[in-house]
This record gives sequence, C-alpha cells and structure tokens, in this order.
Amino acid sequence: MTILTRIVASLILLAGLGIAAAQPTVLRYPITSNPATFEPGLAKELLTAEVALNLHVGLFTYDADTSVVPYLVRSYGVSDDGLTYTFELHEGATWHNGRAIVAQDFKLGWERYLGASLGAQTAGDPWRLVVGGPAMFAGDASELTGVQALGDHTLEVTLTGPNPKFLQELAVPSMWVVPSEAVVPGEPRWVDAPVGGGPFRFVSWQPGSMIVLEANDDFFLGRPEIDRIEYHIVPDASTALAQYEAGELDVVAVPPAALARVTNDPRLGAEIQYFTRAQLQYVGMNQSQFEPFRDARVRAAFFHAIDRDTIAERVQNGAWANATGLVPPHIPQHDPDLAARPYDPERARELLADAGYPGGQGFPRVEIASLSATVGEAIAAMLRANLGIAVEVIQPERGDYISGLWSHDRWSLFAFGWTADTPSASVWTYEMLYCGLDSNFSTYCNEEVDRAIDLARSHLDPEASTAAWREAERIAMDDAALIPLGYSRFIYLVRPGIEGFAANLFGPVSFADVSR
Amino acid sequence: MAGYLVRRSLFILATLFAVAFLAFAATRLTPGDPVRLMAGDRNVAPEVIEAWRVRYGLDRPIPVQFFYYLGNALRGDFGMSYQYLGTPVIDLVGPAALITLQWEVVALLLAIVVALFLGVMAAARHNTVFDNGAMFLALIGISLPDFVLATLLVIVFSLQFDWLPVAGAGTPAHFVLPIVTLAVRPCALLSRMVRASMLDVIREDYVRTARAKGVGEWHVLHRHALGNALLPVLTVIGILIGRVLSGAFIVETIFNIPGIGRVGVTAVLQRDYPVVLAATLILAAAFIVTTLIVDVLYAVVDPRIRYGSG
Repeated sequence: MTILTRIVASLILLAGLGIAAAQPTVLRYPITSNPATFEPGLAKELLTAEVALNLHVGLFTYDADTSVVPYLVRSYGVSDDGLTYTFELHEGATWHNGRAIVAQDFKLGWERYLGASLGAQTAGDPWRLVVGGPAMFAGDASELTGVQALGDHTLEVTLTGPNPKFLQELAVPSMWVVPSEAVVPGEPRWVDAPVGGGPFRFVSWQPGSMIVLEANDDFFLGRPEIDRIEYHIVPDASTALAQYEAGELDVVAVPPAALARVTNDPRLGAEIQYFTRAQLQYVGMNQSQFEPFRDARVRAAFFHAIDRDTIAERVQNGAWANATGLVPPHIPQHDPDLAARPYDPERARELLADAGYPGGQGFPRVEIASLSATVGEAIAAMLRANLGIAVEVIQPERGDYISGLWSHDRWSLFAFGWTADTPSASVWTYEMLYCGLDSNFSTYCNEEVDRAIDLARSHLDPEASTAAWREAERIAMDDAALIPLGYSRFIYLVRPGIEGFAANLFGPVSFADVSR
Repeated sequence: MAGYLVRRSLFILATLFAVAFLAFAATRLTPGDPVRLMAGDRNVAPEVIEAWRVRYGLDRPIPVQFFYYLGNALRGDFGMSYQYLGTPVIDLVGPAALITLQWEVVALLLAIVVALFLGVMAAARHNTVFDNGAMFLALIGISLPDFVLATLLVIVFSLQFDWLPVAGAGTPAHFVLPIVTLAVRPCALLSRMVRASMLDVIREDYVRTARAKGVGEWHVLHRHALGNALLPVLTVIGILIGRVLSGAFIVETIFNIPGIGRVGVTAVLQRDYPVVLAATLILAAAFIVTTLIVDVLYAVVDPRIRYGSG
C-alpha cells in the first residue's frame, strides 16, 4: 500500500514538473480598446502602433532612447545632394508566411497606402518630397516612381528635395509594410489573418477581449525570450490596475488618480517604473474665440497666475514633470536654458491692470474646458484667486472636446496635451503655433515666430536648424503664446521578475527583449 | 391567436423603425465629429480627413444617409465600422450580442428561481424571522445600485480573498460576479412581488377549501396558490427584462465583458455611428420580442386569457 502510494505520488509530482516545464512564458499586457487595424500603415492611433511594434517590421525603428536605428536595413547610403537613398536589406528576413522579405515589398506596400481608397494616415506628409508621391496621393498616378527595387535586397528612394526628417519618418510604424499577398487590394482588409514580419506572429483576436501573439521562431534578429503576448483589452484604467493587483496582468499604466496610493503602497511602490514621454500638457488661449487673449499682457497675466508646479506635483501627483517651454526634454531641439515665467500672482495682477482690467474689473467671464475636472478646477481656482476674474469650468465629452478644438470656435481657454509622432520640435512649435494651421488651436499668429519656424524647417544643417527652432520657441514663450503645464511621463507598474520592459518617448518599445 | 401575432409583428416593425430613426437622429445630433475622433489627438492632413469623410458617406445630406442606412439594414447589412477598419459592424455586434445573451439569461433565470423560492417561503412563513429577514435583505438589494454592488463584490471576492477574477471574460469564473451583480436587484424586486402575490392568493376561498380537504401544504402552495400568483409576477418579469438589458451597459463596462453593452458604450464614445445603431436596434428588438413572449405566456399561465382576432 505504501509503495503504491509513493508511486502515485511520484507520478503526480513528475507530471506536475512536466507541466511546469512546458508552461509557456506569457506577458499579459492591457490595452484600452481594440486596435483600429492590424495594418501598421493605416494606424490612426497610438494603440495600433503599440501592437504593430511586435507584429510588424520596417526599414528603421526607434530604440529605447528614441534614436533611429536600422531594422531591416543592413546598411544604407545617401547621395551628396541628399536626394537619393539606397538601402541594403537583411537577407535572412522572412514574413510570417515564410516568404522572404524583399525590396519590392516596400514599393508595393507604400503604393497601397498611397491609394486614395485606403486613406492611410501617413499618406500626406512623408510623401510630399518623394518623387511621384504627391501625384499618386492626388490620384493622378498609379505608380510611386521615386521608389525602385534594384534587386531583391536593394531599395532606392529618390526625393524631390532634401528631407532631414526622412529616416525618422521611416522609423514610425505607420511607414512599415505588410506582404501584399496577405491583404485585399484597395481595401483595409486581410485576406485571412494578419501577417507581419516582426518578432511575434498573430495567433488570435477576440474583439473586445484579447489579442494573442506568439514568438516568431524565424525572426531574423533571433527568437524573442517570451513565448506569448496576451493583450487584454481593458478600457477602464482603474479596472486594469485592480487586475494587476489581483495578479491578472503583468504590466499596467498607472492612472494619475491612483498614483498617490500606488506610490505610498509598500509593495506596489517598489514596482513603479517612470519613462519620459513626448507630450506637452498645456493651457491654450484661443484668440479668435475670446477677444482679450489677443493682448499679450492678458496672456502673460494668466501665465503668471497659474501655479504650474502645484498642478504637476499635487493635482497630477507627479504624472507630469515641470515644463519650461514647448519642446520636452530628450527631443534634440529641447532648449535646456529656457526658463518659463514663474508663478507670480503680484506680477499677474499688474499685467492685467496694465491691460485695462485692474483687480479683474470689467474682465468678461471666461470658461475653461478640460477633460480632467481636477486640472480644470485647480486652474480656475488659481485664476479666480489671483486675478479676481470669473472663471467657470466645463468638462466636455472627449469627442465633443476634440471637434471643438479643431473647429477653433468652441473653447476660449482649454487644457490639452499635444503628443509627438516624430521626435522633433516641429511637432510643438510648428504644429501648435504656426499661423493658420488647423492644429493651431489657440489661433495664435506672430510673424516673428513664423519667420523663425520657416528658417528652422528649411535649414539642412542640424545645428542652424536647432538654433532657429529655439529662437521661435523663445519668442513664443516671451509672447505667452500658450501656457505649458507639464511634460507627461509614462508611469507603469511592472511585476517583479519581468526584465527588459522599456518605453521610449512614444511608448513601450517592442517586447522582443522582454524576459521573465 | 394568429391574427394577434400578425398585428403585433406589424407593431414591432413600426417600433423598430421609430427606434432606428431616433437612434440615427441622436447620433447625428450629438456634437463630435467621428472623422476627427478617428484622427485622435494627432495631426492628420486635411486632405486625409476629407478622404475619410467621403469614404464613410458622411459628406452626403443626413436624410439621404438615413434612408441609405435603412435600406442596407433591411438587407441585413449594417455597414462597416468607422473605428475598426475593414470590419463589418455585424462582426463586432453579433458575437457581442451572443455573449450578452448567454450571461444575461443566466442572471435572469438565477434571479427568477431564487426570487420564487424566497417569495413563496416568505409567504408560507408569513411574519416569521425568515419572512422578515428575507424581505429586509430584498430591501437592501433593491436599494443598492449596480455599480456600488459590483465594486463591493470585486473588493471582497477578488482583491481581498482572491477567489474570483476582477474583470474579463476568459473563463466561466469571470462571469460569476457580473451575474450576481445583475441578478440581485431583479431578484429582490421579484421576491417581494412573489410574496405579496402569494399572500393575496393564500387568503382566497379555494385555497382554504383545498386545505380543508386535507391537501398537503406543499401541494397547496405549489398546485393551487403559485399558479394563480404567477400572473402579476409575469408582468413584473416582462419589465425586469428591460432592466436587465439596460444593466448590460453598466455591468459589462465595470467587469470588462465584451458584450453588446460595452461595445455600445465604446462605440458611442468613439462616434462609431453604425455600431451604435446596430447595438441599439438589436437591444430594442430583444426587448420587444421578449415582451411579446411574456404576453403570449399570459395565455399559457391563465387559461381565461384569450387573444381574439377582433
């Protein structure tokens, strides 16, 4: 009897060990909704890019320091005039369907994105300087003549004018391509399941529930460490946090509201990881919507009246780092010597009085629109107390809010965040302040700023260009064009034992190097 | 009966048309541009924005959009999602509706079974500790909003004791807390209803006669009283189905169940009009059809009710 018991016990133990050994390593990672598409070039939101980083592959990519590094490209050269790029591709790389990745795939892939019926997000900008790009985007040509495959592993791209940002643009996942046999021509659909060439291959997608990817054994840079990624689709940030605490997720972004609790929790506090993010949180003052904002003194008064440090540290619990200007740190054109106007209620009142509103008298009632009630209320309270003006907070629904920003005719004073897709000052200084742009939500217009921006955009010499960007930023800040509140940070909880999780300025990088 | 059903079916079509019209109007009257939302907070070229508008037919006059939509919907084509490229709406809404159907039916059955048991027992032991205790619990159950109950359940059973998952829909265990959350209020309401209805019936002459004949107490309750007490209860169940359906929006969002409620909420926030419309129509159809079933059941439960053809 005892012998029998022992045999059974050992068998059970052995079986248990066997199961443990065969147990695949899984990374359970939350995303807030279904990705809009699994095709990288059709990405309209950052979420698609996050999945694309693991599923797909491109010529270049951004590493954990947000530097552009060659990916499928083995070596490359640029002609002296800066107009012709020649890329040599790795020879061992294959798509998940087993076919070799060749130069022609990029020509066909980009032509697909440029076709009018797809309306890919990237279709506008990166192509404006590629030979044949604008014609194809306009529907006047069916071939992208500036891109030619000179053999299986040599790709040549010809530009109409020098583009200092070209490699940066190629590194964004929306410029990555998919094998043309896997997609329906002219339609945003897969023939069967998504096919890529990245470190992980597609396994399954249950809409609203989960996306599963598994390690690509044939990945040209070597098989990833973990066996599977489970993207759990969890729209609510606090639900995701609760799931992390209950052990159902391995990584989670910490919502600002929970940050104080998480930081002070002895167990969770040790699992926090901070990463810089390319996002500026700011207060915009819409000049076409609210007349007094056309006066620089009024804008400066608002600037001085808002205690930005308190908002970053106490209201946002450190989710934002203090902002000194428009361009966040780690962006090449960031100006480390720039100092923002300090919090100075005294000076604020003086400026407002100079503008004709002593003690806030006669100043029209103003509304501040903010998606975050706490940030809106904090700013409103500071403006009321320090300027003596009437301020009301409105918290619009997100869709309504964004439409109103783009139409320029709804919000006078608004708190918003502007996020980069390439690490360049252009994202903030140009897109937010250049006269007449749709994305210039403040309807700010200053010839001096525009002139410096024009100079910065046309300079090929990086140093001269950077100097011009900083000049533009400085003029705009002196003019109180807008009020920077903080530079956002990515804040994650990462389960102990998971190594190699990293985020660059845009978000988490590929999980190819993650292990547990 | 057949004539009655035909008339009711015509009513159903008219109601669905009205629902489609109202839902369509609501999506178009809500501020917020779906195309702008597709772009998110990124800077998309104006030409691309225009191209998207044309692709989704949003550049046409609104009445044209409505009849175009209606025509396709009648042929079972709810269009393509604005948000999920290349995904037909039916692929998003169909599976979601099945998930919702499954767990909500379980929740409703659970509520009915428990409520019948509690209500009958409370009536049978009128004014005892059991009666008072059960009805007190029911009162608490009626007063607790779904979102409070859900949060309490998660804190106790998931975070404190680690018995059940916080959220998601991977295994049957994931559905325990949502089902309980959704079942509690209808169950509480229904048990009070059953009790009251039973108490009425128990005082009737024919029950006294049955008892006087020496029929066993179980048989009296089961055969003589319950059948007659069910009629008012059935009415309440019909109303509760509507409540359970709308509960899907809150409970599925809290527990992150990829059912039609959550799909609907997400679609509203993303201005994914075709998905919003399809989800609304499916839920409305579900409610109308179940109401019809309840009406037909009246005739089954109470032989006195006949639906004439006149």
